[in-house]
Amino acid sequence: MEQLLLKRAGKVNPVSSLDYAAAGGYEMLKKAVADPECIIPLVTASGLRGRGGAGFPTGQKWQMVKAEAADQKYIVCNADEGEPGTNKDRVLLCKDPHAVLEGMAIAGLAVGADHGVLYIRAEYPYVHTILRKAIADAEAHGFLGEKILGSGKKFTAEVRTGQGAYICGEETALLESIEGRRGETRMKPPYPTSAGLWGKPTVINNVETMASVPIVMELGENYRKYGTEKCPGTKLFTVSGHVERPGVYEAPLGTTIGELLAMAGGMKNQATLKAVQTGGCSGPIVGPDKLNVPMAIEECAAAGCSLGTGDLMFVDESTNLVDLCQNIVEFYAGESCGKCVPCRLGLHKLDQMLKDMLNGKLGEESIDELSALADHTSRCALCPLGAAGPAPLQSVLRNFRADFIADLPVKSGEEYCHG
Amino acid sequence: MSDWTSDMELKAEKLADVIDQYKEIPGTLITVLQEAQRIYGWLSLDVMRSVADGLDLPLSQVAGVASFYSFFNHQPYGECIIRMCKSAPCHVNGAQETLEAFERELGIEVGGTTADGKYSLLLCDCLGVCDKSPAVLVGDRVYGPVTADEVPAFLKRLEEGGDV
Repeated sequence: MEQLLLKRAGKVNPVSSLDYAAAGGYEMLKKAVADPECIIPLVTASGLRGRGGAGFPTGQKWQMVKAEAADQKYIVCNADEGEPGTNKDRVLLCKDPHAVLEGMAIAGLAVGADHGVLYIRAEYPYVHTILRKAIADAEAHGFLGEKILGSGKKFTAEVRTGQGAYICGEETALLESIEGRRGETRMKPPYPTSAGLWGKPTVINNVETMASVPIVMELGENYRKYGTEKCPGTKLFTVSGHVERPGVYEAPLGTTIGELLAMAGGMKNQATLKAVQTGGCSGPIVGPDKLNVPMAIEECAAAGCSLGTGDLMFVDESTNLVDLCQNIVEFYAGESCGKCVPCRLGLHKLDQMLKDMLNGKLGEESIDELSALADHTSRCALCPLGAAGPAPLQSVLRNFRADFIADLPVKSGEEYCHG
Repeated sequence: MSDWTSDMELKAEKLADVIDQYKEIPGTLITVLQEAQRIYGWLSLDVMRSVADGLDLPLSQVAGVASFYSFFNHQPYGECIIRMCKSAPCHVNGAQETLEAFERELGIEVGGTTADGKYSLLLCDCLGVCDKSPAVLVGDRVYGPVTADEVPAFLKRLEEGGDV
């Protein structure tokens, strides 16, 4: 299958800007320097949508920042890849970081920003070094810096590292963290496009979006050869769980769940597929009947799945769904910032109920209460974290109620009652 | 002067240098705390107070930031922190069994430190290497898959300082 994002991965020295340039890199930066006005029309025509999960049209976001009048604007690259089950940005940053830097510089030229911040999570310490070296190398060879490619245009970049907080992947929490504060989400509006980093108009894009920018600059409308009508292009999919070859795979958007399973070598030891979580840790958990659903935003939504960050976690019949739900809910309960009551208390109560189900204190009779609490938490929480946390559990209760009941252990004391 | 005193003075000097380097740059509190943790291994109240004084910020703000992020340490840990991923892709591939093997082999529970001060065992959320699950982060390096039966050999190689 044709690779656009991973075409250089493993073939170039990742920190070397000259290697990247020799492999065709930084050509689109040259084009952007020569004619900054061409950038947004090309990105818009390609139909590129944000790869961090929300799918906002990239060209439109850049146009909004370009239209703002300000003495300073910023480019921020979101490399806080915290969603459990998502590894795609790590692969790009480790194997082709200059593609990300080129995307950031092109974004800067497009909107009139001369500085970019790459915010990367603490869990990737070995990637921090690669990025710092890559930036220094690009500056040393004139691809970034005070005079990019010998022109009068400036674009500098810096790395800021997180310190372990899932919520900092949310764009306004990320900005708070760059500014040195607790990663608590901001009220929107104003959106970062008008008041972002240090209150200035800011483009925030995911790593994979940035790496896609040089590709769409080159292909323009031809980018639409790949993918679906509403979701053009190729995308990186992280396939994990009980599969033969878990990993990150590039495929056109619209590739089906079953085709991605086949790319990963199918189920490990030819086990029977029980369920697949689509779109990341907060995505719906669905059954084998969804294998022909195309992984694209609209198609997934219509089928009760989610594209999200492009993850698929396949689990076999040995998996206890009560245990899996408890693991996921515990993650969100731990990452709740505590600002609003439904999320702070709701997620912890759900976690406790699931633990009590696993240790036999609660049984089938509590499922309705569990379901109601999941619905309330999801509906009443202030930000998307509280809505996302109960979503996988809700999908299991919807799609796998009988399996969920079958996975409950024998209730403590019950064996005596029947004796 | 005792070794302990000179060591503490050396660390205080290093922290003062870090504060000097960053105090004029806005938004660098997290960076300064990261450096402080590299120097001291953890963020004691005294260290946070030094940072607050140095950056001219209220101690409450410094402590608030320090307590928000899970990779800031609020107690001393061993020289080597083993962080076991507990997220779903590792969980379904036996992370719990691996964790129990670490607890057994090291003779400590999660959150604990070995008596010789060498190792601490912590849990963490997704390490982003789901193709290598179950995964562990040791210092700045990530390893996987580390299955329960591989833990004794893994620790032996770690002990020998070689590539794990």
